[in-house]
Amino acid sequence: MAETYLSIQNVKKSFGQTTVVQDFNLDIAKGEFVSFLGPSGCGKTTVLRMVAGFEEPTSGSIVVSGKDITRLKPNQRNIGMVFQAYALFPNLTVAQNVAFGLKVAGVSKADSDARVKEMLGIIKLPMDEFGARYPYQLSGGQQQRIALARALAPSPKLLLLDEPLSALDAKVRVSLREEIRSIQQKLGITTIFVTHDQEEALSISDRIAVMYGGRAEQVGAPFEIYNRPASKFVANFVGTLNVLEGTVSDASNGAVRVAAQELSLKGKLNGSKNGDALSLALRPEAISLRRRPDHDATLSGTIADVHFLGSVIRVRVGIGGSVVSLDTFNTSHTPPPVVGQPAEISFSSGDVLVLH
Amino acid sequence: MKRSTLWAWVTFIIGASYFFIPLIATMEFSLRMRRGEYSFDAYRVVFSDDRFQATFGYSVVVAIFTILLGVLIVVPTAYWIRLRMPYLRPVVEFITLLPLIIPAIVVVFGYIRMYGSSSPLPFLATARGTDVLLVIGYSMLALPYMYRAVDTGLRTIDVRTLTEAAQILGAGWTTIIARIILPNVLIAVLSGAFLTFAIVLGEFTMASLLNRPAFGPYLQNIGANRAYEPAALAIIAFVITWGCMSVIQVLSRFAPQSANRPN
Amino acid sequence: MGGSSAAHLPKVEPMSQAIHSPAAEAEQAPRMKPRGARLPLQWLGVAPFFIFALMFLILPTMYLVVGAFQNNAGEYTLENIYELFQPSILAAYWISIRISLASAVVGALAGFALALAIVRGGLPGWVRSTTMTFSGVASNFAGVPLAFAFLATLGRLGLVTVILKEVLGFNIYSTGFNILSFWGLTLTYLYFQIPLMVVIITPAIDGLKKEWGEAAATLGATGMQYWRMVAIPVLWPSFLGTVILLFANAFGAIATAYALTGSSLNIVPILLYAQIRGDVLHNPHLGYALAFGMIVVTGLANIFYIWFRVRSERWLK
Repeated sequence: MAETYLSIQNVKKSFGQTTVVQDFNLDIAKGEFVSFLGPSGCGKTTVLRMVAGFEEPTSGSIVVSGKDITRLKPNQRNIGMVFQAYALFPNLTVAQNVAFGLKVAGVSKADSDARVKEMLGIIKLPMDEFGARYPYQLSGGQQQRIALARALAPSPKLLLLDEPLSALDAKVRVSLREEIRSIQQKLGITTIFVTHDQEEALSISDRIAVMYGGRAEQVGAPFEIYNRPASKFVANFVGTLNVLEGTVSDASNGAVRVAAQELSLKGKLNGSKNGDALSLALRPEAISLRRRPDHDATLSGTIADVHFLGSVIRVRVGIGGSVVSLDTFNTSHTPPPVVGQPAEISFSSGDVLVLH
Repeated sequence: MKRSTLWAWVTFIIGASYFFIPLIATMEFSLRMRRGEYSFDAYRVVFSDDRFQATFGYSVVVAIFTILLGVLIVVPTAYWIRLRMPYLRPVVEFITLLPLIIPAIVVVFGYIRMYGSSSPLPFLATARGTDVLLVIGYSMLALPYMYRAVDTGLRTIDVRTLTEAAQILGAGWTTIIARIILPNVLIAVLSGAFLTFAIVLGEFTMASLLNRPAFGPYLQNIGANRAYEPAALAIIAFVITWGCMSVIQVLSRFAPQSANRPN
Repeated sequence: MGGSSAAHLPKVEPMSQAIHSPAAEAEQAPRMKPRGARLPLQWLGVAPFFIFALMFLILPTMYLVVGAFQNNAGEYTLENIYELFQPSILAAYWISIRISLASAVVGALAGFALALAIVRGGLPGWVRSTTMTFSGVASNFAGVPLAFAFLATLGRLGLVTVILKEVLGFNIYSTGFNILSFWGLTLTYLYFQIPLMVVIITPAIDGLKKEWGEAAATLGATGMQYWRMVAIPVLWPSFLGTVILLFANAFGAIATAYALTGSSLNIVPILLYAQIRGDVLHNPHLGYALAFGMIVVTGLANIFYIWFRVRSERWLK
């Protein structure tokens, strides 16, 4: 990893008796895009607000390019921030909103005008057409782009995005997140993105910090987080997961009993004893509805449910007391499975996540 | 943080003293009727005064009729404007605001000239007619508050959907208004009603110029001729106003919250 | 209690509405087109309202306005309007306008400070709820009882007057203060003007989003810069609208002044009151002109407000 640019060190935050962030550590490289992902109340927004300066850490420090900014006021930090509810100033035009930070910094009118024009060009809302409009005359997506331009105009050291897409409708959400990512890469600005939407985080981040109960449960690249979740929480929170309950029947051979059927999971049991209860987790895309040469494990059950979703068919298979979801592609010459029929699912034992 | 709280406390305390000192002074004064000691004599005198009972009773009755008239005019109008004629809204809102621009004394002056005993509509020819005119005048005075309260109430319940749902189920107009709309805006109507009550009860100008034996002119008369009773009356009036406002506050807690609007 | 009360007020709110609920605006767009054939029936629904407003609000007012331009013989003339400009009537308008303006401006500023303190001052929650309830009460506490309260406080034998004299040896009446004077009446009017301001402006201050301040801070603005460039411009229409409302509220008020000063203070509503009761001006049509003048003053104040909004607040929906 490149040299650390933003360093959050042992940060803790308590409000009275309740601790909302405990012992949070994260180093972010220059130009990196890091997402804080977690359910509401996990402390992700609080960490972001401490970086912005709206909350003061109870202990720990925040360092940006070697300078400790922990006690600095928000307006001395040179940080750009985008809020969930856009937070454009309603009394100012688009151009005046974008110019706000420049005006406050005392940038000359000519320089400011040029920068505003440039920023509006970057977010594809040209000055000529949109500069004189007021926020209420724009759609939500447009407002959020203006908010992004406003945050970026004074060339901040960091860009903080606090659930910027949550208030938008689904289509705009996808297109805007791609746009945010491409602008971020073009400008090379170090960015923290707070979200509770795992798809958002997976699709645009360099790294993701999955947070739960005020801690970072796991920090890593999207591929790593999805495929090698470090904890049960991460495995459950990121992506869809099928969980099968089983018991270790023969620890030495890696044999596990699931719904009265034997599975062999060599090298995955690390230290479990015979009779131990285990949760076996499988991603839907790792399972298939027929035997495949590369799949070394099979379980049989009954088709419980069939949902036709267009290009894919989501099938739920009952195995003992558990239900496993999997997706099969829709091909016009194969009829979909029928509820009540017996079925056999197969997967590679290497794809099984053992959650203790 | 510390500094900001300090100025707020200072502002609040200065404000609170401005508002409480006159009340304390009035209270203190009202208790001084008996020489050398505090007593409730002034209150006793006031409450046992026939004219107090008569004028107070008169004003209560007038207030009730004002509320009824106000509801009859405002509820169907506000409902109809929301349902069918939204393009009339600016006109109606403008008219409901007129009583704030045209002083009450001007309106009542107009009544006196227009509805005198020799006019085509001689409201002022009889005492009963004058009472009716007073009620009408008060309902005009209360129009801005009543309309606003009801309109806000209607906004939270999505009138159109409710009406259409009722129509699909076969309800007629009377049923819709009486069984669907009114119960749903009842809280809003009651808030407007208590505000109207507080306004009407002590109103002086209209009652005095129409020569009706109402509470406001009585207060005025006592104030000009007695020493301690006016202070007691001021406290009583304050308590009544406080009571009306408290009822409105309590009612607003029961108001239906918007159920079908995401925000 | 009294005729001049005006809490829970509509007029000044469009701004806070614009901030709070864009949904409310959208909802106003007509979904159903008016159908020509059903027009007469449609109108039946609103007819009672319009007939009432016409008969008991608009026509009586128009009657006076027309009368102001007629003489006793019923001929049209501007003579009554000219007569308004005689010194005693002019003086009445002038003192009325001054008292109304002073109580409106001071009331608005004080009410704004108080509202700011309870909303943004970091005070405990009960302070806010108590202040709001009390403001609802006090903004309706006008007229005769209010006059009694201030006489008992700052009259010659009022509690504060006496305490100041006996404890501090300070006689406020020797400074030229008089509860029956301009400042005495203004101070009394403030008792309902300040709470009315609090009631109306608090929702507007609530409408200032926390994120605006935070966005301004991350962009490098100080608290002062935020207030100057964002908060004050956003609040200004509400503020000015409330000042106009307070002005009209005081300008038409009669009960408080009448109970406080009898007819010793020559303000327009009292003059008009005396004119209606006993034709003290010896010319009924001059009375009409007096009423017409009052409508002109409050009307002008509102036109100024509307003009201001249209001119400078393009950002309002």
